[in-house]
Amino acid sequence: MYNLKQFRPTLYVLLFLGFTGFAVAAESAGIWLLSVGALVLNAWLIRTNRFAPLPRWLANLVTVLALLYVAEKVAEAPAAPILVIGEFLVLLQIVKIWEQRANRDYAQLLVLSLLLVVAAAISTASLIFGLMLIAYLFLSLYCCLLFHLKVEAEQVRDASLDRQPLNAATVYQDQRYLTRSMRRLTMLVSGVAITCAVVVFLFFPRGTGGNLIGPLQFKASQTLTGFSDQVSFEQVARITQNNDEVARVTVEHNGKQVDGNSLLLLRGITLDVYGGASPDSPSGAWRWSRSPRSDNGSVLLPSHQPFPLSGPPGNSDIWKQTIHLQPTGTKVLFAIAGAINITPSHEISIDFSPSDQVLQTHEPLFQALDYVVVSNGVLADGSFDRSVPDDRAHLQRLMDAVKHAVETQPENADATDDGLGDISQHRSVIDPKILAYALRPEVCGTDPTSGKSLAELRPRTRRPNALDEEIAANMAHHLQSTFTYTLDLTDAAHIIKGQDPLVAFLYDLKRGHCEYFAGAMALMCQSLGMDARVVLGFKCDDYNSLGHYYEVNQSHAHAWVEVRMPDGEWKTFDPTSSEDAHITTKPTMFSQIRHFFNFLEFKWAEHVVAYDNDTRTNLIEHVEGGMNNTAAKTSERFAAFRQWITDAGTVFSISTQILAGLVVLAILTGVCAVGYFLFERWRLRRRAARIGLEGISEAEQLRLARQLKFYADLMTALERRKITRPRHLTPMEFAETLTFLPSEIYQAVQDLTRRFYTVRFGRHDLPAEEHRRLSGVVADLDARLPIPS
Amino acid sequence: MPETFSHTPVRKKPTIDFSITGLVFCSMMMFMGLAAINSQANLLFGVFGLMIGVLLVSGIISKAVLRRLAVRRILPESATVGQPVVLTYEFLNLKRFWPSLSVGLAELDGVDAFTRQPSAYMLHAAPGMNAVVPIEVVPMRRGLHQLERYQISTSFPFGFIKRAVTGRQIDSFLVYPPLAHVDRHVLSLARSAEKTGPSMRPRRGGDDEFYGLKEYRRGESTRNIYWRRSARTGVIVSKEMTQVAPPRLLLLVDTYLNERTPTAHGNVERAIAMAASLASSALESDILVGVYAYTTEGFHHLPANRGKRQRRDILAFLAQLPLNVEHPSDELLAAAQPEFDPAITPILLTPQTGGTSTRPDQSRSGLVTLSATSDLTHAWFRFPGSIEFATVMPPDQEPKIETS
Repeated sequence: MYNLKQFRPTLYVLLFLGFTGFAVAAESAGIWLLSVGALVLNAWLIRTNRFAPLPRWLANLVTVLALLYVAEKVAEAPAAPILVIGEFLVLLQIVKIWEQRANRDYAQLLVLSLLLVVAAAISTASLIFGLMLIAYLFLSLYCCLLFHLKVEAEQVRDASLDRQPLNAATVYQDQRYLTRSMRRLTMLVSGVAITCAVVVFLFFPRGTGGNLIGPLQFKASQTLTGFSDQVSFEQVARITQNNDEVARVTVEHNGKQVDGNSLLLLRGITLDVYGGASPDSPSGAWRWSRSPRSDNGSVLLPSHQPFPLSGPPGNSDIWKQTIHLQPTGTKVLFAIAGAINITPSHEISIDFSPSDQVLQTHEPLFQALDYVVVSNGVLADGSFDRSVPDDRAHLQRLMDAVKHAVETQPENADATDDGLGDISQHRSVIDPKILAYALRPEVCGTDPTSGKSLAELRPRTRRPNALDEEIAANMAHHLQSTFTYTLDLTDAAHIIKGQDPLVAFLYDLKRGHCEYFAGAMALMCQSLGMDARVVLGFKCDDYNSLGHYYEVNQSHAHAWVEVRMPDGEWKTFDPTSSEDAHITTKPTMFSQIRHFFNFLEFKWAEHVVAYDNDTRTNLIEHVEGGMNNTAAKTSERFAAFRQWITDAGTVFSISTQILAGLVVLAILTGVCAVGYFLFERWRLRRRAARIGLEGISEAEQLRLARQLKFYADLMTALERRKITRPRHLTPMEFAETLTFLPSEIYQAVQDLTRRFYTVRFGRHDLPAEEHRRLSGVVADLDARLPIPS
Repeated sequence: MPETFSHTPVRKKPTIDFSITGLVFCSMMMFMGLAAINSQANLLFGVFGLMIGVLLVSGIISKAVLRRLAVRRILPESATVGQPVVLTYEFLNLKRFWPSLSVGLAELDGVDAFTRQPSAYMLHAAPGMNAVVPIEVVPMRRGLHQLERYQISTSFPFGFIKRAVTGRQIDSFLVYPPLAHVDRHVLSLARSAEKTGPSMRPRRGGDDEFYGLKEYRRGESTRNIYWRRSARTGVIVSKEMTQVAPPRLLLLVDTYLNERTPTAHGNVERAIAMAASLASSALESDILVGVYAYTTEGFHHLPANRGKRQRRDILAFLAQLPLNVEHPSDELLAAAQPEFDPAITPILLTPQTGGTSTRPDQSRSGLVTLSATSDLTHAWFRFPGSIEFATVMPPDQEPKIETS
């Protein structure tokens, strides 16, 4: 009796899913190996009948040890107790698996597994875990159904007087269609449960009871290691590529979706002061920092309301960026240059500095933020290119600017006129070697007419000069062409030690990462009196063509330089050697697969993980709006219909007699329909009686009478020839007695009788065309049957 | 002998009930809801909703499982107190699409007939299919019992919500008195009583030995014609042969109850059970057995006969003997006197203490008296140890107020 052999394999698969889900959430391969290994070994031992349960005392001892282990881990790292509790649950399950004896153990395993999955659900927002959770929930419902059956069946068996195993027939009876039934019920349970889950997910109020009983999400928010709002050369180390996702950015250029062919340069923060060797400087030794801004303003932005950051766009270019930014641990927000307005997804305080167009939140970000920024690509009042310019036309423009500067330079221009003093006003501490390096002709370029270096031609003043653009471009070109990009400077520590790292970079190392390149160039520009600053942000070409967005990772963090031009605009220069860094790659199959999964993850995060109160409110408003619209439209249509009737009434003057006639006609039609229905039933019952279907249920009689019309017609045709079936003969026996008929008619009657059997006993329904065919055959037989004399 | 009357407990479930498991689940659901609200984790909101759905669907399915589920009770023709018997329940799932799973059935009426409430469990009946569930029960009381109401219940699918529905099907079920293993000495006593009877003589009608002659009548077998005598006398005569009279027992069952105590009831029931056991054993040994006892219509005589049908009739007769508090054994003997025949061995089975007379010649008319209280009869009639005679009487014969 009640051999529910499906239960144990289902339970093991369920436990496997729970373990794997938690391992995914905790990002711990060790937990997965331990738990799944113990599970598989146990399953193998049970399958080969070698399993012996652990003694209770041993199981209890292991449990106590596990408890101590958990207590110690919580004491060590109180920041993530949910994951530690999850580990404890894993250990408990392993103990339970190895001491399983009775249904009580199975029940405990089910509950522990559910709690483990809950712990995992709190700790992760991964798409893979989400998919596993869905599979887990379906399977757990199936498993619970089986478990309940198992428990009840075993209770009955234990209470039974007869402990003998039941015979095979009873076991067969129990198992007959059991799998099919369980499948149906599981589908029903799953359907209702998932529907409820979706409804609760969508409409349960959010945000009202957050942190009601203290923080459950103890796992510290992850901060980025790729992006930092500071640049320091104090520590020299190997920088490991970090591919964690930072943001997803959808870009529209003048209302048209950007297809990903161009680089995306997201500005973050600008740094314009280099601290030099002095540790007492505000920025510290060998650090770049941002000078204090007088134009910084803090403002509370309402959700979903565009907030203007600058005046209307000066040119026709509009870049609209929809950014989903993961917590970075900093305050910095990212956008394309020239931000015009910003629309956050929820209420947030920001600081905006118009002078360098840096957007920052008031508090560091520890939760994902969605916002939309509209930019015009212009920094200050000049033009600003999104991507690094390298086309010939641009170079030609630079050459023209240099010529113009040389021609317009006064002969008696004194370099120290208003310049050196101003240069000294730069708050950066600049090593003279930096200036010496900047003055080299191969670095700043030479004037083709005079043969002098451009740096010498430029007045020593902080006032922007027409030569600045060419000098900066030459510097960038020089660094790009003669320096090497690397993330590993561990072997250079002894070279850098004791001197300015940027000096070491320029003179000795000749290699480094983007911060060295940008820092060196900015400092060289500043040493010549130019206004230059280091910009930290992201430079990304990783475009997901499925989701139509840029995937910005930590490894896309970048530093470049902005230099102020005579017209007041800031020009962007990227001096980083392009030999290794950020090379635009063609999409490969691997990258496409990665994009696909990233796209799924994005959708999961967007629609499931990031579902919040605002989205919920929007949804409810949308639903209400839809319902109101539908009601209004329906009302309008009714009104229009009523109007039409009224108009028609006035036009055609429908008299009451006509209406009465219509009503009578409708009643007559109804009576006729009912009459026809009753007549049809009566006819079918008669036909059923003629065929010999009295012994079965009425519904079945009617069904078969419809299906077996051809056989009833055949019987009628035979009866007209005085050939009737005696009640004691079965249809086939009767058909076999008709040997006196012509052979082809005899054969046809046989065939029709076999068809009758198929329908009558084989539960085979005939399609309409088959009905027509068989009726045709019977009609043909009727015509060919001999007429009795 | 117990000094109290015991009853089989009847457990009737409420139409709808919440189980401990359900309460635990609800608590977990609340915990999950609280965790979701506190952590604002969307997945937990999903799980919370899922748990609500599971609870909801649990109520729906438990109702659907019992809907359109027909039950047919199939009872055996009869049973015997103390001997297991199989009752069969046929569950027919009339639903077109949904199966019925994990359905329990419990009898509500006539439960006192059994040592415990008859209950069955059906694991699975697919849509449109039936499931036959046999159960084994042990009858506890003799008599005609009526099984009427039954209750089908389920806590499927998760055991959170228990639902029950009461059905009705009237069936009668006759339970014979308990049967004992009868010592051979008792039967030999019955035989010897017959053979040593003072009026025993051969009877005609058999084909054993020559008995005499008689005039031949048409229709009789011609083989019996005694041709020599017929020729001599000129009248056709035929031979008559003797028949050996088989042993015949007349069981006089004294059911007089002088006091309404469990012990007295137990003695009466033991006497009835001894009669049933003796009749059964005697009939198996091809002895003709008749019964004389007090019934609702006065003293009633079941003539002696043999065979399975007679066994069934005697056992059914004994099973349905009513409560007798007015007619003592003397009245019984007086009423049965006309039935006493020289060829019959009357055996009085009485609950009264008075010893057992095993010598027919010591009693009047060769009457053998077997007392239910005698140690000798206890040795001769070995009943299963599980039988409590104080509870074997039909439920309607039990005193309304329990006595001790």
